[in-house]
Amino acid sequence: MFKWEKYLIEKVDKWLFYVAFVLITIVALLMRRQVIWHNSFDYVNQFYADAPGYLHTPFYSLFIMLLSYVPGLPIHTLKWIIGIFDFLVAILGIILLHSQSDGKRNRMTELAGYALLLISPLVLEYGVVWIHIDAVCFGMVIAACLFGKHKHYHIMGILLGIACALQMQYFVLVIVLGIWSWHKKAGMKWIISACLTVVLLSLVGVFVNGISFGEGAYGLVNWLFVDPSTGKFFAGGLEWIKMMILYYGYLIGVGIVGWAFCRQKYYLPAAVFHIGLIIYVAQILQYGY
Amino acid sequence: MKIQDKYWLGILFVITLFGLWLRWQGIWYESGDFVNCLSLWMQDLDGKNLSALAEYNGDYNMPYVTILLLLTYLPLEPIVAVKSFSILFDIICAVAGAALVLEILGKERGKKVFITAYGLLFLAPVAVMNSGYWGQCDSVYVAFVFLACFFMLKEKYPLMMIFWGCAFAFKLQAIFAFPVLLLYYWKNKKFSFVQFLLIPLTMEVLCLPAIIGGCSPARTFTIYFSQMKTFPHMYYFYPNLWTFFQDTPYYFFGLPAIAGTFVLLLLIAVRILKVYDKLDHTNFFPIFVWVVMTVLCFLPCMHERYGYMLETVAILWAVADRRKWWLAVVLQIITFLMYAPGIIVEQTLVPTKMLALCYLFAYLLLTLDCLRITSNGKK
Repeated sequence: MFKWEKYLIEKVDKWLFYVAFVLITIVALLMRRQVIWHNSFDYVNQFYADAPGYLHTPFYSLFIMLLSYVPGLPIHTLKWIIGIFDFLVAILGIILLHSQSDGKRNRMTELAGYALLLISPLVLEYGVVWIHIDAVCFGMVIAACLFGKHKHYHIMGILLGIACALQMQYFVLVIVLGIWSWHKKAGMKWIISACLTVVLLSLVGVFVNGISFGEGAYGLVNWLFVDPSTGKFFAGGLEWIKMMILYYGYLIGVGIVGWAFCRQKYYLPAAVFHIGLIIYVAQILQYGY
Repeated sequence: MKIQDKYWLGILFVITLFGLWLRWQGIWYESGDFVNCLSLWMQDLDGKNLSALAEYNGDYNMPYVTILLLLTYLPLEPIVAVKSFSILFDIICAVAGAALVLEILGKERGKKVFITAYGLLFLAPVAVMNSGYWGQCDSVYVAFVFLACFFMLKEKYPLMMIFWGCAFAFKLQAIFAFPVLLLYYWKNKKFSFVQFLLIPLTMEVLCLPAIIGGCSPARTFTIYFSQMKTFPHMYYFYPNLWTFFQDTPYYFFGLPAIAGTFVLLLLIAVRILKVYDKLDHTNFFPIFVWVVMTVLCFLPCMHERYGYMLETVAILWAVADRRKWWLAVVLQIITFLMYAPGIIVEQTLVPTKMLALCYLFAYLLLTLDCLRITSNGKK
């Protein structure tokens, strides 16, 4: 081996984590760019501001409307917004993971967590393929947790409120965090901020979209009992369960990966759950609801 | 010769005879590959000279087509000739694999280990069905990969590169194990990147008859690019993750799947490079199996035959470390169930998605095992 060759390898070895980080970031960007033209069923049939009220919350309808003012194709704008939030979730996830590790930094675990959160088919399926905005909501939730950790409770509440105003399914996290805060005797002010943010943003959505208050309120809660593919009540319990798995698939799938990286003995169940969700979502993406 | 040597030779002879008998049972079986490709190529080449190689328009590389041309001169039925060549390499592959295990475990456990590895490899269902029934030649490139690894561990690098070149000259699938060579080069720093040039050089040398016959020297390499575009499907009968994405368009998702596999390999590489001081006999099998199974599990468009190297090396790992028997058994069962429809039975025995679930679970267990092994390496 030449001296310069050895020197070069040793240099790269020294910076290996950073080199890998850059490479993973580039590859993850390319992966998202590749599917930029893919039209999902949801994009074709449900992605317009005046879609029926059972499809979107008022604030999400407003968000869709605002996208039409951004130069470029809405599909591209939306996919890149989701893509950016995919990266944000991965980076914030690593920061959260680091804060949980009691100062014992494991760069390999952090790199693996970052990579898996970016290249997992589950993340790609929900995000840039299906254009569900779970990454945006989940990014807000992780950021809220980090602010909460530093006792910035109002910002925490506002971020959780934005997440819930976009997708009301995330309100379950407000409840879980509320119980946790009450149990730990931590501050509860953020719950008021979160609820106020949801109400305020929904009201803005109602006014700008020109819909009635009743329709706006219905848009916040209908996901619990209305089948989005038909607009009618769920036909049965099984249909309800299937849809709830779909609504919470991203949250569970991504959350479980982060959880496994904090508690390594749960690698196997976390991986099994994650792959199970990938397969479940893949079936729906290919063959419909 | 000692009596004990005669005893071992006798066992070797019996194993070989039994393996040949098993293959003979399927010698007249005409697989789809034989009917649609091999027999037609043999007809085109029959009795002609080297210029016939220039007219060949199939998707196999020229060294194998040169062998097919030579086989047409034998006084044998084409099907027997083609399968005999593959069976011959089954024996070479089993010997090379056994030698590799022996190199890893050390000579003191000699004959017993050699015969166990040879026997299990030569009698493995995947080996018997691949050559004896299907008429495929996967044992050829795998034999060369085993020889390359053998010389890598012996630190005879020019020979190692020549055998890598031979493996690539026969099948592109040798690339599944190529990251192992790159890791070895990067970590051990024992040979220069210049030696890698021996690989394309060997490929060209093996293609010389075809080049003399009028083929372009670039054909050796360009044929693989055209191969990569032949089957643009996420799933192509190998029970990996993409079994669940059978109706997903390849032109959108093929590249992200390949990119995702690259990232996983990168993570494995970072872990191995950071954990081990050097790569040697002690960590060869876990690294090799982990890398190859990762590639097979996540690359799209994998044919069911592409797992041949993994399925055989898993047997060798089981011989070297008995606790790993489960992986070899699971892979043999899955492969048998994938190969069987059309050869042994009419219908699919187990739904492919079920096999894919088992395969993915085996991969997860292997990954956890390899994470544990590499953690021990750290200590």
